[in-house]
Amino acid sequence: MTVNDQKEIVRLGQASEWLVRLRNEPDSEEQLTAWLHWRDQDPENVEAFRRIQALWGQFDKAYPTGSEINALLGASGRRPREAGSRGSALDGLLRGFLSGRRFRWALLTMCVFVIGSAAFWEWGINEKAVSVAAPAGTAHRTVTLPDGSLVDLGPKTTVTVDFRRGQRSLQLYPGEAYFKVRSDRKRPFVVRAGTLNVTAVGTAFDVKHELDRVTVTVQDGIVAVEAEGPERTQTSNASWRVTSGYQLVYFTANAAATLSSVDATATIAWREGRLEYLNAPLASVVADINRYSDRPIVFLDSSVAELTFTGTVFTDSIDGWLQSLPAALPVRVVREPRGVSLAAVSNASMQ
Amino acid sequence: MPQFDNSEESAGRPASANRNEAVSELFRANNRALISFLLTHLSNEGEAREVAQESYIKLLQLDRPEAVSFLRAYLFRIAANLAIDRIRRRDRKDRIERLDFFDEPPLAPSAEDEATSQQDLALVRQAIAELKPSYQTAFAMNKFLDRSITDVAAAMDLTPRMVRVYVTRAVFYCRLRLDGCSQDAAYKAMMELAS
Repeated sequence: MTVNDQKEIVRLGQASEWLVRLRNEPDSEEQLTAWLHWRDQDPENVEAFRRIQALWGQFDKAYPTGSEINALLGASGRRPREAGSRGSALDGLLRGFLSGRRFRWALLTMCVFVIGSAAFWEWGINEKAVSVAAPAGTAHRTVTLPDGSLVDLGPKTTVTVDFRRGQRSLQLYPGEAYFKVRSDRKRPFVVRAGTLNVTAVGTAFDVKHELDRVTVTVQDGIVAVEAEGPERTQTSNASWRVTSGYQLVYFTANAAATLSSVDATATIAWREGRLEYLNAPLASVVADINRYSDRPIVFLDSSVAELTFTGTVFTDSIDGWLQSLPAALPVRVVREPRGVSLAAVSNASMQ
Repeated sequence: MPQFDNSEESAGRPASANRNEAVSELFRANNRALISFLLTHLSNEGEAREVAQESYIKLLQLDRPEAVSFLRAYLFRIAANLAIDRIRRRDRKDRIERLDFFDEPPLAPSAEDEATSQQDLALVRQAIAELKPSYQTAFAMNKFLDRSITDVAAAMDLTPRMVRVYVTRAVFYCRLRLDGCSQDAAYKAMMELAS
């Protein structure tokens, strides 16, 4: 449509004014009445307002990323390109906005409602994403996402959420989280853990992201797991389908995965405060426990880390587990001022 | 909360019946305006509809039957508060159930369907880039950072009135450029916009 009609141009100008006014002063009754009156005057006004609103929505699509928005924010020109150069008050303010992570209580495009006072929100315009983090040593936090999906966060775990523009994209940083996904065929639910993308349609699954591996356990439904190849190569990415009751462990170092049948309820028992293991390396047991405790457990002997452990650790009774450990494994527990060391039991100290 | 008390119902409460009648009428007359109004705060039409429904339900729960003219202002007030609440705290769990009479066909064509080809989006970006840098910054802070006119004014060392004009002009200019106006014509129209 071309605007050659002067009346139409005036109308669109009025519509622009109304949009900006209503948006910024929603409480003014006088203004509202005037707007309704303007609207009632002519169906063309209704249409003009609708078209301005459509454009307002298109802006979000035109500027999908934080960096594009940053360019506009910095358009007034005084934002220095190099660190250390001078900057106006506005620059400082904007930079604070852009580089810092800020609490944002009012979010226009999406919100995650966090249950529990210790869990918190962060918002950075760079990612235009929300991150939800659970602090150390606490019980897990349940978070309801905008689409109704649930995320249970393990301790010391951060997940960032990006639900803009019809996508459901999440990033899991080292830690563990359980996802119960609300089905939506049009919007795949993708959890990224390192170089691994875990895609679900409507399902419940757990992802544990450790330094050397990512473990995906499916409780319900099917998820697709795709490992990203090294950048700038054309090789097709490795991918797997994991069905309920199966667990995929992806090893980052050699980009290989193992798939095995597991008791998924045991894997997700951490949500009830139990860590359950079947022939697990002590190293990964301790890595889990360390997320629940502020007193880290370290290995004095690497041979201890390679021992296998079968049993349950109650996250509210880590001390009890440490006390019982020497009975189960050839391990000596050494209490240090800041933590606990696990040493191999030497022949001499054995009774 | 509405009470479902049979004895009371059978005794007949014309006031309540009148009110329901008035609210239904109000709905018919204002639903489009209300959703349009809500869309200035909520970016998605489905959500705007939900808030509209909630507002009507709140209105139905009012005790005093009043003139429709009063109800209309009240309805928009409720809706604005609900929309703001929602932006602050989106807990989707307590969704209200759909009421039959709210099942109206969508406003056609919806804002979502409106031309969003890559070419259009490139045009939008180009139009914004043609604006004065201070317009771009004021617009982006208000639109994308969701900061109030007053906030933007303080940050940019401008008066709130100037900021409102900048943002309005940016939107207007962009619309005209998308609609095929030349750079000069759009610029002229933009500068003529009453400030």
